[in-house]
Amino acid sequence: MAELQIRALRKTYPGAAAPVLQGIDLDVAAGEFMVFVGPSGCGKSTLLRAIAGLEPVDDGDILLDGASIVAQPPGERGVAMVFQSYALYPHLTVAANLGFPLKMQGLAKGEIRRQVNEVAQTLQIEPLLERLPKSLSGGQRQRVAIGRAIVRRPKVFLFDEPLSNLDAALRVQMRLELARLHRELGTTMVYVTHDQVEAMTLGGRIAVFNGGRLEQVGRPLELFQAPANVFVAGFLGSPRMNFFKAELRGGALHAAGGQLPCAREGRALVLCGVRPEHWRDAEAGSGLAVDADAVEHLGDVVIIHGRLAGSGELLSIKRAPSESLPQVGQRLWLQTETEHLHLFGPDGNILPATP
Amino acid sequence: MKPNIALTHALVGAGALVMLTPFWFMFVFATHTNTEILSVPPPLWFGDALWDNLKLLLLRLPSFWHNLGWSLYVALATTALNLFFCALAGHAFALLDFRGRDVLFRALMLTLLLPAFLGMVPTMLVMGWLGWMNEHRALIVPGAVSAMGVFMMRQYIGAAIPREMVEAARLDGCSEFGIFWRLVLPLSWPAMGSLALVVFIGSWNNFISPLIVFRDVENFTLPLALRSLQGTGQTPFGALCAGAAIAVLPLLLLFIVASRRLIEGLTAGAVKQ
Amino acid sequence: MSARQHTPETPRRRWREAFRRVQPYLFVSPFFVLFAVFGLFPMLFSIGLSLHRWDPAAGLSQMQWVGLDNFRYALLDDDWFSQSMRNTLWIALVSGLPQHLVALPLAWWLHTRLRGLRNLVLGLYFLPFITSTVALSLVFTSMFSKDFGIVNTALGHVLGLAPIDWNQPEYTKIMISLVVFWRYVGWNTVLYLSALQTVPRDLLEAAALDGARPWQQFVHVVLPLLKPMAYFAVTLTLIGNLQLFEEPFILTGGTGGIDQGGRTAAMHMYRVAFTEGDFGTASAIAWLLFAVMALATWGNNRLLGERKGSR
Repeated sequence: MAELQIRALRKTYPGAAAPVLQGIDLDVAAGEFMVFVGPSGCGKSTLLRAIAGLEPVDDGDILLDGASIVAQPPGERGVAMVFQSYALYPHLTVAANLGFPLKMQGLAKGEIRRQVNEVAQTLQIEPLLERLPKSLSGGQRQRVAIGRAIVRRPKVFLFDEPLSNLDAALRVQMRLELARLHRELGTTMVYVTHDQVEAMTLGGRIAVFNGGRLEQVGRPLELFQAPANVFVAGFLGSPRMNFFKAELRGGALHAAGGQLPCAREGRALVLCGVRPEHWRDAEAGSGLAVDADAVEHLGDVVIIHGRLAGSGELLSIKRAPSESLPQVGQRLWLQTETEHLHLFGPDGNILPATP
Repeated sequence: MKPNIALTHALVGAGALVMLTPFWFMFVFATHTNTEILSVPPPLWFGDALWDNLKLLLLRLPSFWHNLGWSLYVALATTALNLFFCALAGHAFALLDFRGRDVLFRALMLTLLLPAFLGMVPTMLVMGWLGWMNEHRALIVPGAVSAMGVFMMRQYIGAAIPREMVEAARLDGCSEFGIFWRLVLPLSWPAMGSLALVVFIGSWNNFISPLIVFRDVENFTLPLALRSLQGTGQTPFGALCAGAAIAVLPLLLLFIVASRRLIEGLTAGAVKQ
Repeated sequence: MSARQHTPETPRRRWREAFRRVQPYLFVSPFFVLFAVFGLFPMLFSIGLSLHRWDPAAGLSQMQWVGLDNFRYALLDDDWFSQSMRNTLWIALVSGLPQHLVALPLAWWLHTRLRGLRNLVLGLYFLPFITSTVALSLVFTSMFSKDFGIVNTALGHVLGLAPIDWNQPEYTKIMISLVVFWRYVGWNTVLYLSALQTVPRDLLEAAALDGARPWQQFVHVVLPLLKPMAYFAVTLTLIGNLQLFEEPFILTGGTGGIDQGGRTAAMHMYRVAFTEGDFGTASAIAWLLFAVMALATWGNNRLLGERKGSR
């Protein structure tokens, strides 16, 4: 269990126009489960691999328990990694795979066997010990990969999108297992995924990356309820948060399709964000006018897609099936509470609270 | 169309049989005495003089079994060294990042352009200066690594060894040579099999290098030993064919067992897969 | 690179770090070291040798600078050299052309018409390539014997020809060419077959639908696609045939045949170096042969090579 500190980490791939890591500053507390999330190419995997020592960095530092590890080779950092493809040794049995790191450390055969059995028990893969990886299912291989990481008793566990090769049902199951594992072992864990559901459910804290920059770090609910910028707001939540242009003036938001009361002072051109589930019906003629284009029934929820009257900006509304459902082409009138209005300035960041 | 196709089938088949005739006669002549061979028409089927021919062979070439042994030794040693060093270099070119890697590899490929005979004369001098004349080292060491072999291994290792597995091994604290020895070698055996066949056969058949290097019949490899039977008065064709048959037999066996792999190995550089 | 609170830089760590950086070079060094010693150095030395007169038996100190004398001698005064060059080119052409002209259609035939037996037939054609040239050439000498050889017997039965004395200069080259053809036609077939296997099936089917008969498909669709492989295979043939040594050596009993009818350039070089002990001239001959080889491959490149930008 160790704390991880990343300081001003920069990296540019040779020949690339922009850096893949643009000066990252991040702290991971001891025993924390930290999730790196973001779209492809945002640098989250590169950062993880830099922590592991698999990617060299151009500038900055990585500290584990206060000591810099950025110059150390991967095998000596005290980190273990579970790869997306599991990266098992195909010609070795499961037992040999699990014991490989211990063999590299030079432990005696008997001791290796004891520790391998212990780990196999924890992950419930004892019956698989003499088998070869190619005869295992995806989920089983996963466990072996995790086991190989556990056996090293690392200070930090690194996970590189470990669940993306599994089918949906298995993914849910493994998610729960990973959460349980974290509770049992208590080791610091850094987990990379592009799946926001995994991020929201597994993360003690989430770090959202975009284009090599850290957009926001915090607990899942914090990021969901109080996103710091347009990117984070649009990244978490499905369907995506609605955005439309508006002007804050005189305690109301004036948009193309109408206006909404907004208990905020000041005057600014903003991008307003409202989550689909936060729309309420308004009196006809008040609030925002939205023309419904399509109604999607998902069984447990209904999603209405429409366009803001006047500007044609796309909006979506999420409600329970029991509520009244509009027809296609019908005009709806919508409103919402002030606390569900996320106002973003021209720089994409949330508007600072008026003093 | 039909009769045309049948005709071509027959033609192709006849061609294949023609390809085989020298082998056929080699085995047939090995079982006949010289007088039987040098008659009109020459024998077309096996005779019963095989044992006599072998005795004659050993009489004219007392070191025959030694020569066979030397051929085997040189071929095996060359193959083993070649596999090891080519795989090692292939590992580096395929999996490691180091300055000048691409330049060095291109230089390696350029050496393929230089034909062997250019160095034939000075090579003998080098062997003389090293004191390796008449020694088998002179055959084994130059053949211990080949550009084609490195190329083949790099292709295969680059394609077949998962990068993430190598990274996992590094994280597990495995040294680079450890990764090579424990992971890359065991997982590269298909390519190594092909390369082994190619190198073994090349070494077994090699004639020019032994011709330059060896002085004593005792040390000859098979091709050279067989040649020494030629031109000494009346060439003992029966015995010669018996010897030739023994020289060719291992190759035939290898071929029957592994022709697919052999062809793959030989065409490795030729076809873009 | 800013790094605060580094773990202490012990000498051991520095040594290990240095070793790690050097390691890839260690991995590739066996090739380069061996090549430098047994490939590059001899080659460079032979350039030097070609400009000197030297009898190795006399010792290293006896090397005499003669400039381009050796080259002049080889090109202008050495009849045997010009004869051997002529022989080499003749054999290269006469055995090389059929190798490819037969291998191509054969490969096509195997690819399109023969499924089940393909590997067997291919194997039979390929067998000569992997067997010992020396062993088989020795067998061939008996087969080409004037009075008792199979070849003459067969020719007599099939074509009614009188027995040919293959040792006569006009026939020696034919004999050598036949043996070389026998050896390599299967190899070229293998090469062409593997190239054919990369021709997309849809292309042929589209041509068939367009009304092209098999022969036309071959000429108009397949041949252009085979050009790269043809270039590669012909290059190999050129390089191989121009340095032919083993077959003519054995077939002529090491002598080059009556009137040098079967002496190739490589054989001549061998003789000049090891029988006459004239290392200087031998090296000059080697480089002249290399020049011819370079010329031939350049010509081949013009003919069959890929045009830059033509795709």
